[in-house]
Amino acid sequence: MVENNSVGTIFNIQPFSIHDGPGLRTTLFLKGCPLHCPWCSNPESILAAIQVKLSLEKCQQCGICVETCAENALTLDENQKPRLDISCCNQCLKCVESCPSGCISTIGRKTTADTVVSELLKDAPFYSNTGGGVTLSGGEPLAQPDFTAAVLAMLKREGIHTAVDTTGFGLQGHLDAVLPHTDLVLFDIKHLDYERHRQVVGVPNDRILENLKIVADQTGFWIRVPLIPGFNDDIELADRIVALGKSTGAERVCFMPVHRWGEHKYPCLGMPNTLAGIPGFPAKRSQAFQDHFRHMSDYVFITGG
Amino acid sequence: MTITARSKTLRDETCIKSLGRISDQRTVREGLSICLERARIMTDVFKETEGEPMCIRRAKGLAAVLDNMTLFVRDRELLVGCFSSSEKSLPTYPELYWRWLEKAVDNLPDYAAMLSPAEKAELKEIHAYWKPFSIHGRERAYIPPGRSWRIGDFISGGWMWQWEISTPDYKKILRKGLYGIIEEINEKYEAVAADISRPTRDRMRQMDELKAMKISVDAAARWGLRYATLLELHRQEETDPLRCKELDRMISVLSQVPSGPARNFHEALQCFILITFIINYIDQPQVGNGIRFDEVLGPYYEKDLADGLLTPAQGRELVEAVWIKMQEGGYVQPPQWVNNGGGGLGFQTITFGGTDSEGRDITNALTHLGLEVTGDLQTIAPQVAVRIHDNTPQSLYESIFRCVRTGCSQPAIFNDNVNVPRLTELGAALEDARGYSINNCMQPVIPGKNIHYRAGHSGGFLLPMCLTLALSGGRFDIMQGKLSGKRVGYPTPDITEMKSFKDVWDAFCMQVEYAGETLTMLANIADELLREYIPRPFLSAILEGNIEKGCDMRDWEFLGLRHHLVFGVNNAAEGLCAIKKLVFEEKKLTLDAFVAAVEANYDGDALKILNLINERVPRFGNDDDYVDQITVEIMRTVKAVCGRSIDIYGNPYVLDGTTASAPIGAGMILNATFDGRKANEPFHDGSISPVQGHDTAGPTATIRSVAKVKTRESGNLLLNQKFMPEFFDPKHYPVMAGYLKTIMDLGVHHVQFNCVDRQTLENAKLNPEKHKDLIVRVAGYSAYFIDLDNRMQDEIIKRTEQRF
Repeated sequence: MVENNSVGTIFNIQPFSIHDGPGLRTTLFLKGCPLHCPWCSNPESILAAIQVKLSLEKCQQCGICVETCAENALTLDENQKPRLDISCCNQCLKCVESCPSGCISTIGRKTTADTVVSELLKDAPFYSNTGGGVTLSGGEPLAQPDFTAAVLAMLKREGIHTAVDTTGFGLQGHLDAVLPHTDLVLFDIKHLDYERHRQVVGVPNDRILENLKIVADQTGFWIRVPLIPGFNDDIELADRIVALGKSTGAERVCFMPVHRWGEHKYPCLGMPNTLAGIPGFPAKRSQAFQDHFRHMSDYVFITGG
Repeated sequence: MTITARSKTLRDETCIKSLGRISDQRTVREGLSICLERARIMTDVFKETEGEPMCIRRAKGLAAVLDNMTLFVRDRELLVGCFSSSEKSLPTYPELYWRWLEKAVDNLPDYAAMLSPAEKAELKEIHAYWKPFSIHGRERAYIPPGRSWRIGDFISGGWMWQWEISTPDYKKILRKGLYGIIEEINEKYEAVAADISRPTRDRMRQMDELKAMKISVDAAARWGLRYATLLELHRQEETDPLRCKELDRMISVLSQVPSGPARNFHEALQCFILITFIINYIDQPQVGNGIRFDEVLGPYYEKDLADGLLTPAQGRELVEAVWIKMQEGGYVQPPQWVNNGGGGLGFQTITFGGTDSEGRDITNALTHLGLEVTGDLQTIAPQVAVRIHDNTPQSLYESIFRCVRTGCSQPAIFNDNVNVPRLTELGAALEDARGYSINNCMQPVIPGKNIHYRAGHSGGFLLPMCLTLALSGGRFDIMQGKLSGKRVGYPTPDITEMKSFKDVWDAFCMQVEYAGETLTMLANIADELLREYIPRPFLSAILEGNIEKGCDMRDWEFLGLRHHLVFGVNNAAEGLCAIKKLVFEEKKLTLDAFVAAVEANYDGDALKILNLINERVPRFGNDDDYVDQITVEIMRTVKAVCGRSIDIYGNPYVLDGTTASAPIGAGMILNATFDGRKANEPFHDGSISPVQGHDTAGPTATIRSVAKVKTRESGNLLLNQKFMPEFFDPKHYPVMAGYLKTIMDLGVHHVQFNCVDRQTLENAKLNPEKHKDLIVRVAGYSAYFIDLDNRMQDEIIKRTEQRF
């Protein structure tokens, strides 16, 4: 393998993924995302820097961490246990070393492309027997374009199928670096309305829709839509997204009803729990989508629920 | 399709014989009793035949049981067969054991309740006759002082006297009938009798053996006819015209088999059940079975379908009837084996798939039907195994996944690419090796060939204890949990003399070697006693080569597969790993302190050491070479020790990792170990599965770790993986098939899937009455979850769930 010392920040390598592209895949999660979707189930993916996480089951209420923190990001709550406010935290990580009970850990690590690729290649026999491969997800892979491109290029040299799961929010130059090494793009479309998109997700969608065309010109792609009650779960909008998929040449369109499994992560990260304000996706509604798109079941997929 | 109402009723009314603890409340199922008929008849025959050759006495004993035992027919059943006087009872085998049973009925209320006071008195009377003769007890005279088999010394095991595994030549029985086999015996007998040029001793022995075979095979043929007669009585009293028609057919079937050849599917299945019941429950308790169900019976099924003699629905109901018959099986187990045998059960395994002797795939309509019935019927017996090879059709993968998805924890999946070469390396011809099947202990057997597994003494290397003894100079006090006291292992150097990891490793290897010597001695004594006192003329006659040789199956060995088991290899590896890393590399603690922590069961101050282990020591199952290679080295060491151990036929032992739940049972009574396992916690199950909860890097990393332990360089190894049901959704079949193929490509010998979610298990533990049907795969066999000891339930819940 050609050595590549391009450095990236990742937070998880998830083997045995079957929802992030065809076959059995390993998903590499990169850290850092320019969007701020309130329903995010991986809130640890948003901040680009390595950050701290509290797990308080073992906390001895010694208060050392609070004394260590110069930024007042850690304060004591009514139970004499630390409370984290990420908005004050400068990620100095001094609290991690200070805790005698091992309650404070870090999320994310820096790694080089060749280190991570040798890890990803370990499951190569599983990829080839299942038509699977590797998916880069996040966070936003386009936010670390050099690292992403390097990892993908090395995987391609080893004959591995590559996929990139993206919000579509990135510079054209970054797409140009990444797409030549990508077999499949999992392209998220959250809303087609410029203003609604900007209000809820934090960025407008014009660049995303532009990038969709660039992707469509260069590689195979799926459109994926997280279904959020009250935001984008109306059938008329879904129809328009499916029509967009058809017109741009998407291989399939997947609607993914929101789940709340990530909710417990927010307080551990010192982040406001935005997911708390998102209602669960009713099974009935999910069924309505199933029924509506039944005639296109080889093109429109509704997962989970 | 779903099971028929008749099958459902019969299944629900079947008394489960498992002697598992029902949520820690009982050691024996309520309502289960001991039937003394077999023991009584056998004892009478032995009293009458004193002085006659042992093979003749055994044959007459079996014949008398078959001729005189009470037969019964269950309401509306299609296939008949029994092994004791009622469906809710089990026979005992006083010629094999008596002591533990007598102790149990005297001291344990659950066992005592299996007999009335009068029966208990009779049992004692029967035992009084057998005390000098029963083979369990005879071994004591031959064990030198200082060597012991007891759990807690350094090996796990017990005198079972009831495990033996060989699979008769069902194809031949179905083709010729027992009368055809008697003809063969007669021919041979006449030839031997006439040939007075033979050495006299050989000639006399062969004549006795052949005569014994004839007596027993004749009796088995008569047994079927006894059933035909009984059914005629039922027929006379039957008023339902539909049932009358069924009874007419059953009478015709039992007038034909097993004495004559099977002419159709129904006769073939009935013949199979009767033969299986004789060899596995009536003659001797024998776990196993090992029939290749689709290969042997599929042609009968397909022919009947083609000839219009059978509808698919009728065929399916007959297969359901076989499964229910299997569910009826069981044994009275020693109390100390209740955990080791898990839920306990009939221990019969049926094999599907694989190839013929030329290597062509044999999947047929019965393969799919059998798996479908397994999933729909949700019985714990038979255990179902499927062989996978390079040309296994996609349709069979799909049938497997459909079955797994029902949550019945079946089938176990075996890799031909490992098993066939392994058998040829052990000396089997390629054609024979390709015909292998799987027995209850998840070992390969070659159907029809002479016995290749005996386990009169069932024991194994309790590897975590070998490590404990390596650090105690071979001394151990199980009551106090101290690494001192009585010497039970090899006198290895004191820890004060251990200056490097290699010193510890060398001491460990010495303990393994010493354990191997002891195990071999014990197992060989057991085998000699079986050879001398428990000949099996009936089974001999239906295994290849015995009629021809005029000898008992115990007189020779077709293939050297006598085995020693291994327990807790990954607990031992992680213990060694902890010593290597924490004591010698990082110098975070001394050996002295480590020993003290283990003696303290990691309580009090020693908790810090436990935390250190949990934080810093690599665990098996995450593709981390640091620890995985220790596992590999241990297995190589044990395999080498086995190779130096020679059985009574002159063949080396093989290493076998199919220990059912014995490691869990053994762990439950043993002290803390160096891997951070506290006293009474189970060892990991399934011989090569990661320690519960230690596989945190996902299922593929576990497979990669396991694949490092090459089966052909070690032995049979069993891996359990637990998945969420979602995984086996039809839309994922192609991915799962690829996953399974990869496991096979990587050379993993055998994998089993549990498919049930954690929530369900937790609910079942709290509300057992609502989850009576919940089946889990424990290690080599399935069991009803509610029958398992609470700690074993916890272990299963803890087993890492593989999520997407």
